Amino acid sequence: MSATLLLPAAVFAPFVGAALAPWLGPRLKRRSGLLLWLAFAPALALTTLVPAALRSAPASSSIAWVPTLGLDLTFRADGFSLLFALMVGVIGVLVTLYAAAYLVPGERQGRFFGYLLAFGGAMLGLVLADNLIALFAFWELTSVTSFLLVGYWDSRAAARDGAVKALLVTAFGGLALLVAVILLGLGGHSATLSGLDVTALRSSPLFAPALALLLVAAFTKSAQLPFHLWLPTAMEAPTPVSAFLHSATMVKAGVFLIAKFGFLLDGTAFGQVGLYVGLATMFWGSYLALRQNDLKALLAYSTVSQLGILTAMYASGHPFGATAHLVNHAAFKATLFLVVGIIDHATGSRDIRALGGLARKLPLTAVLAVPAALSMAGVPPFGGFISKELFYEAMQHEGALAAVLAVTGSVMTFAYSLRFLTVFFGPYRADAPEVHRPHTAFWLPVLPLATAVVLFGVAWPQHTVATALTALAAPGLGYAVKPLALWHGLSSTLLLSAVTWLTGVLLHLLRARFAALQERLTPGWNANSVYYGLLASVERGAGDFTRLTQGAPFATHLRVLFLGVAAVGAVRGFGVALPSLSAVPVDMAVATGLVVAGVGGTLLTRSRLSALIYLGLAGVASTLIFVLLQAPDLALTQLLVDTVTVILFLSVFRFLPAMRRYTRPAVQGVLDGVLATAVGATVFSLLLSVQAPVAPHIDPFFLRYSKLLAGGTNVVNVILVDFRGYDTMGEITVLAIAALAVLALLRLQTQQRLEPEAEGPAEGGADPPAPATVPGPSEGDEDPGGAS
Amino acid sequence: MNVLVLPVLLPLLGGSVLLVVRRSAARRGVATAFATATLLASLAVALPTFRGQVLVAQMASWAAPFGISLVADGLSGMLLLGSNVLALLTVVFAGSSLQHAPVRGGSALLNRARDAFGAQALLQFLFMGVNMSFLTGDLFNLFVAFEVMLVASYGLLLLGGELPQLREGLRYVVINLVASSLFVAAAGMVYGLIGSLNMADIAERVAAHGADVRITLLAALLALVFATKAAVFPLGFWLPNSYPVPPAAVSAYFAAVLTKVGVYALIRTFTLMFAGQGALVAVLLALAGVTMLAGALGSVARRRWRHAMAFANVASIGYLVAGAFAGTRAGMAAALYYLLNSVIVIFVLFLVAALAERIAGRSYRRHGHLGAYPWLGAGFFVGALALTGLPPTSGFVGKFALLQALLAAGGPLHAGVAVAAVVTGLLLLYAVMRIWREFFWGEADAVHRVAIPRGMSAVTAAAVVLLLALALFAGPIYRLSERVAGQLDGNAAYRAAVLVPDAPPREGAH
Repeated sequence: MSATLLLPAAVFAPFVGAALAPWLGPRLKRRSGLLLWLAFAPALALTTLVPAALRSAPASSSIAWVPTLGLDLTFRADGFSLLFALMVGVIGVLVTLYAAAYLVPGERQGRFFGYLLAFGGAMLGLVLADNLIALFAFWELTSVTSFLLVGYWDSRAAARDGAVKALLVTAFGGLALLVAVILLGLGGHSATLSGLDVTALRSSPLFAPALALLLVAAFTKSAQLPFHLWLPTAMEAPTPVSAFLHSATMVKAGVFLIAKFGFLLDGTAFGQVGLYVGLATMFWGSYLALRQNDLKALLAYSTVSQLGILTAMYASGHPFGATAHLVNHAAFKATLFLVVGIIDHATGSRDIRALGGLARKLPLTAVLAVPAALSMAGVPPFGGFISKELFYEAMQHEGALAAVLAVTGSVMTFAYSLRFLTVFFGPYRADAPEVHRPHTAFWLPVLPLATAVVLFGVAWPQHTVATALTALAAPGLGYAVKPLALWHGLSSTLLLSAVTWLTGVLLHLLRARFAALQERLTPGWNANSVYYGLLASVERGAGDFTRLTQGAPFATHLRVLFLGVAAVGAVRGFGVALPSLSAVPVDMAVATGLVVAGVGGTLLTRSRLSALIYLGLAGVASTLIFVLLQAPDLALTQLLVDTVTVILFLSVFRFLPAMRRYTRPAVQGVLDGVLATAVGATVFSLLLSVQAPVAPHIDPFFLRYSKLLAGGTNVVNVILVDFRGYDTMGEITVLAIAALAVLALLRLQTQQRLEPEAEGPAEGGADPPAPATVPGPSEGDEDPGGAS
Repeated sequence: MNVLVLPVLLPLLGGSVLLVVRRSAARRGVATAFATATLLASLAVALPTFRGQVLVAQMASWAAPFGISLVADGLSGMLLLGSNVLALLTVVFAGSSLQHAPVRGGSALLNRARDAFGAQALLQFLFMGVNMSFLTGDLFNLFVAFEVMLVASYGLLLLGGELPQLREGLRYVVINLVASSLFVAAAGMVYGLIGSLNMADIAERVAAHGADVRITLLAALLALVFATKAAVFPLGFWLPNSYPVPPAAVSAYFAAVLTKVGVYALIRTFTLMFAGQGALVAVLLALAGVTMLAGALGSVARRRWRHAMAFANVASIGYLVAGAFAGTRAGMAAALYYLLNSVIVIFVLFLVAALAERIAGRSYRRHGHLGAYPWLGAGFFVGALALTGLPPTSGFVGKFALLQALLAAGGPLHAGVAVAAVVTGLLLLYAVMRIWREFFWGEADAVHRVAIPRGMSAVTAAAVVLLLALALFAGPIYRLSERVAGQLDGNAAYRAAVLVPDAPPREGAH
């Protein structure tokens, strides 16, 4: 298959599998996994692209999505991406097979495999994407699918909480990444990573913010301090998920990002930031891992710590050692997670204190676990030792502080690795009276990973296997491959390793005392308490803000609107040249005075009847104004409207409740008066200022053609029925609708009153009526804004 | 007859016919038929506009600017088509939902009474008003269209006479009436100052006259009116409590379409009639940023599903206005694409909420009732992703385009609004994920199963499919948005199509 087809196929095949899974799940049950792993087959076939990547001529392909935005599904298989993609593919296959044995019959298999495969596709897309926005899109997709997977056992509160936490933290980083890639694209004049104009980008003012945001994104995804909090709680996910997402692949996406953009970090302060954040995370993660009693939690914090190593090395420009460690970590950590899954299934417990001597009952599992744990501890002849050496070498290069952090972190790593192994040795202990031997299907998928752990340290013709894999990423990341050997002579690095082992053993022996010390040192707060505090204050702040704006009385809403009007007038200080008052005819002044009196009376009176009379006065006075302006039609209309209004009002008068005066504080009254005056002044000043039009009015046309082309002598009427007849049609419709609505309201009310049994039980189910949900006066309870 | 009048006349006719149809099933049939016919008419209008044409109909054959012009350019075409697709879905959904109880444990009789007392007819009149707004090329006629739309919506909001309906309805009516009075006053003053009501003619005259503070003030007054209709902060107080009140289909259509009419009017005002009002545009942009945040905070604060979604709608208005008033063509294109996304996604989320209320009741704190309805969950999930702008949905494309436009425009204001947009996305994510966690996760209630009427679930599914299609065909649709944004930049084609030099005063007259 050609690369143009293979690359998208590798990414989308898992999505196709995910779409099929809900259908297959109920049919094949646990066997679905045995079929669905095939969705990763195209990813495995990416091996065929290795030669091209080694020649520095990576295969690429592109599918247009929104080309005008530069948003296309462009994939590019350089060595590093390929290494990652193969890792995802291989572990994806093994985890899918493992999950088929892991899931309990009766669980929603279809949903699980659907989520898992969708994640696999997203992860492949993320590592293969060359288009920056597509990279972001897949990045977020991994967060979303991770959310669904962590919450898979959704009846557990902890799983729900862990899922939300993971999503919020990583989505926060995701948004940072979105802004970062947009800035990179704008500064580097390209939508693809490979096409970025580095010189332009480095001199752009967008460069620094882009890099800062990029690091934030990487830190959240790879659980670096202070964003590490989500990873341990994400362990509520089923164990295959933890192995796949939360140790081997997804959490490495942040590291991947740092590595991919490493060429930009070079020579900036951000590299140092990454270095020390990584080292701090490494130190703190291993410190916390020592405190855990749950096997899975221990591995979770260990993962945090190991991700710190990777972050530190990639950020400080040691991609070679970092890549070696990346490969090693994926192998040993996935193995250990899957082993914990087996232990959990076999004994029903993951508590280190409650388990011991399992090697006797689960010999095979122990054989799988021991090399992996020793590799994690950095003991030869396993791969972990080689990359630990490289790590030491690099950190010595970075200075004393870096080296000290690296060594102390590694000492604790060594100690917790030994602690992990205590469950296999010593006298047999387990809560379960009987340990069930794991099914072959259970441990078989772990075997290749455990084999890899051993093989990575073994010498190949020239280099070790780990070196060969690391060489694949070399052209992509632009580093020279050094041969990795177990023995490279006596060096300061080896000395540090020896110190690590000795101190580590000591720490392991003194672990009870150290644990007591840790207990004493524990502060009252941690990242989690900060997270929950933050959530609570966001909820509280949102509530307060919404109550403040929505809960305000109705009058305030009107005030805001009127304030807007007043602001319009205030722009010019309500200023306008007043025309000479002597130009106003006396009769007009009188009529205007009557309008003002009517309005004022309506506002001030205490009885509804006199308010009505004042309103009528204002209406009649406006009629008078129309008469004075020689507009008899308008005057007649106005008179009719007013008369009808008064009559209608009077006719419903006796049904209305007693009139109530709404009191307001005196200050409020003054302010409202000022506001009302300002609104009036605005309208007045605007009205005066439009008296001098910027262009001649179109009305001569109406006078000219009213008789000629419309056959009417009353221009106002012609405007209403001909020139603007369409408006009139609309207005008539408005009246009809209003009549319809009023009629419906009245009739519906009456009918409801006549049929009190209307509140019967609902149809379409045997559900009992739930009083709490019956619409009614209780409606406003939860919405303080509603009650006003 | 010009095809431009059909999207207005057909619903008018439909509403009138529905008043005299007595059988419920027949009403459903008639309403669906008219909505379908209107959709086809909209398609006939929209397709040529997508190819760049500007369609014009001069009412009563009077030459512009003397009569009333109906105009359809790409912007009108997009909105017309989008809103009428939703109109058809609304009619079908309402036809089904009005036969059933509104919520779990509620009474079906109330909804049946709503049906009997003109709910379907009022819907048709509402569609008429909306279509009229999108098609008119006349400022005063826009006022009339708003009146048609608003009176119909008052009717729908109050129909049923439940207590919250009356309480929130009053607020809605009064605020909108005040805004309408301001509108008519402003329209009068525009005629006074500029001498014409035809939008294209106003544009010509304003451009010829040059900068004038009086013009700016009138534009500000109109902006105030339209911002109130669009629920731009702080003028949108009336929306979030009133939209969840009417029956499901109605509230979905309200939320999805009505506020967008306000945004449409804002766009017309500042791209066509009063182009070049830099200061006002900047104010609107800043308010858009606040609107997003206010909407997002509200949806975090509200514990009830449809209320939270009503606030989410406010947030999406913020996004829209931000794009439209970023002052660049890229921003406008992003806003137009986001507009389509927002219309459909809000519709979907309201429908899903309505179905959920039927199953779980209106209370928020009943865990896991919906776990047994995976398809409903899928619909919600897609809608939630699109609302929060997460891939691979159309919401993601829209939000990305918007952020890119804002950041490319540069400047502290634009950057600030971009930050607000990002924070809004996170807050909305929190709000929807809380709904997900509370409703779809937890112990599934196995005993209790409610059948969802087929019409309701079919419409919801169709709306979700629309949303997915918007993402799948984002390429061509985005290209269309860019073309329309290009048209709006200067509006040369629009003006030329409406104002024909040396046209006879009345077509066909002699």
